[in-house]
Amino acid sequence: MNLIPGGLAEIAQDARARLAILARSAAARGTQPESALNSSAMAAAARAAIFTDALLAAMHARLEELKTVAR
Amino acid sequence: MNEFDVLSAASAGMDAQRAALDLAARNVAAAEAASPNGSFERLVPRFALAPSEPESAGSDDGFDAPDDKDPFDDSGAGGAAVRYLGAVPEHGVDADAITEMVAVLDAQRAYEANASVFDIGKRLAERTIDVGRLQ
Repeated sequence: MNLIPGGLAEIAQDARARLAILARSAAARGTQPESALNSSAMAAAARAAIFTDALLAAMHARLEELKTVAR
Repeated sequence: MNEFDVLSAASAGMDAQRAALDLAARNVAAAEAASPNGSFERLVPRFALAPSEPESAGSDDGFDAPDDKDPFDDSGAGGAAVRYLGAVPEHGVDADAITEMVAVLDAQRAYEANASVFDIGKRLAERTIDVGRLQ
């Protein structure tokens, strides 16, 4: 039985995929000489990381709640 | 996409920057070895983007040169991991210690940025494992 709501799991998966793309983009920008845009790439990656972390925290809280109820 | 894509993207970036630092060290040595009788050309690192998905569009050798694909474009499917391809001489430019000092600072900052991304990926993986434990 899937205990996590489908929408939440799907969004978390998408957010993780987006974060991986932004991490690659930040790494690519870092190799460009005199790239002033690397900071914005890092900022975008950090924003995606915070969002992904929040979604994982929500999933964690949901499972903790179910675990408490099931006791 | 899997749980460790962020880690592999960051480690590829760290590998590339480490190679750039090695090359800067070589250039510093070349600058120190220069004499009035002769000098050495500066070597510059060459990077490329390797598609993360095998079915992604790319050249025959699996690499997209930076000139062919915009490395700043993060809208493509899956993105691409950066790879160090080697060094090429910068014709007509001799190795210079000051230039290399700036290159080292750039590479060091980029390495630290990738290390930060790696740390984020590690924390997310740990959190994912925690969620998996509860399920």
